Amino acid sequence: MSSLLAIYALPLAAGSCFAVGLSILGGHLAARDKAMQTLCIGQAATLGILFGIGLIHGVMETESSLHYSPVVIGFLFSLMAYSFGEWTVRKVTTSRNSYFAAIFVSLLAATSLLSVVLPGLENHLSQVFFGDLATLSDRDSLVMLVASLLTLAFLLIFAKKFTNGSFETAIFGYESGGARGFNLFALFVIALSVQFLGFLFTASCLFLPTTLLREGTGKELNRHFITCALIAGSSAALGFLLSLNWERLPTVPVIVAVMIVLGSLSAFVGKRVYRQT
Amino acid sequence: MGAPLLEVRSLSYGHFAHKPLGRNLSFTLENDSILYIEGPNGSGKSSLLRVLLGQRAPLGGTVFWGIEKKRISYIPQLQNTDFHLPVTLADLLRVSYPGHWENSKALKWGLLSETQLDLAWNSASGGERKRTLLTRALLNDSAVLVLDEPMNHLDQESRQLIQSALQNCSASMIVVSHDEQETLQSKKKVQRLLLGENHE
Repeated sequence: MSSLLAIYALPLAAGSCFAVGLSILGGHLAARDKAMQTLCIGQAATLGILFGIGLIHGVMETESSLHYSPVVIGFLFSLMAYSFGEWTVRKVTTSRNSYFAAIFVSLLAATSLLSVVLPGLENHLSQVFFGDLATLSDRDSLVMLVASLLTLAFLLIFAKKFTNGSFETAIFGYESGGARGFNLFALFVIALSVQFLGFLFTASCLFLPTTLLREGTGKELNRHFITCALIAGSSAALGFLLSLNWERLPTVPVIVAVMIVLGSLSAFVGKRVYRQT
Repeated sequence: MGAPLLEVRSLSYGHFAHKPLGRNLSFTLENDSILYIEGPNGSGKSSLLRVLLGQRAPLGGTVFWGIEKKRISYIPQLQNTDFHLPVTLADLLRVSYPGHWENSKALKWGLLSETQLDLAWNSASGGERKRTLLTRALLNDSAVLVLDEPMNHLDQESRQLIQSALQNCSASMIVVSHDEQETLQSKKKVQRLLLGENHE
């Protein structure tokens, strides 16, 4: 186990740190009622990344110098999906989620079609959709570790502004002028995460901790974010270690299972300890 | 008299161009004044507010604010307004306040007590929530308060506290009301815009 740990130390650290950042970002996205829209954006990033990989491998037949270009294409696709979604629902006064669900299934179908049309994408589709921390190279792990630290720094520096923006969006029903910066930041983090850690890992870290712990952390905002971060980070580490120990276990589904167990336990205990006034 | 805080010219608004809720509206909001937007249910009061606040594009005409958008504070009716994140009323005031936060800054407006500041938003009453939003607006030195039916569904205590705070604040106000009798006690200049009858 210790030799495995030495080999996978960097992916382990990168996955855990990014999970922490995603769990805090997810709290804000859930507060802004953007969960379904985020799934759309994640799926658009998946499509864009696959398109980028297909383009590099199939058409350009080159690899090394364009290694990170799928992230850029994924980001552009997610930006397009976001803009199209916002344009579609601009006059909708009821819940917007059914519209985003329709866009999501369309993007899912397009992703499946693309994997058939462009050669050699089936394996990549599985990788981008489900993710696997064990296949993360040292270079990519290092990139993700730096990105996760930058994400955390950004979330901390703008914590007040983001919380205020989330509150205004939820209570007043519209986004203030400063929301554009938050939305672009979220889009980029999601595109990066989908590329290297997979759609399932991204969506789980974004929404499982904050949803499970919604009523399990009392009335303290910081306690909620810290607990979400601890659950997401420790689940990513523990899930990864479990899948390394039992080789047949897939990494990300195990991480998700651990997150559900730890989150539910924490919420169960929290509800009894922190009774809201 | 200085330039108006808000100048609306030939404004048409509504969901559909062929059937506007309001047509050819022109009015201004001056310093130290209250503009009452009145009319029965369905007359388009809330839709007009959305256009004035820039949440919805007008069908025609112009809306010009003579102040920065951040100096306009909107206080909605607050129906079904639970918040996903767990926050206390003090937290909400702290994150919207630009400088160093202390609870005493909120207490001086007299709308909330120290105990109420420690309440969770999701367990606070409608009156406490509305008083928090008003305190938030007053703390941020708003030049214009946009109040959508400010006294709706409030108990007597909340009505009195809000009435008193509004009486003492220097901001101009746009007040939406379906009841002509619901006038705030104030020394400000009063303007009235009646929707649903003479505005088309």
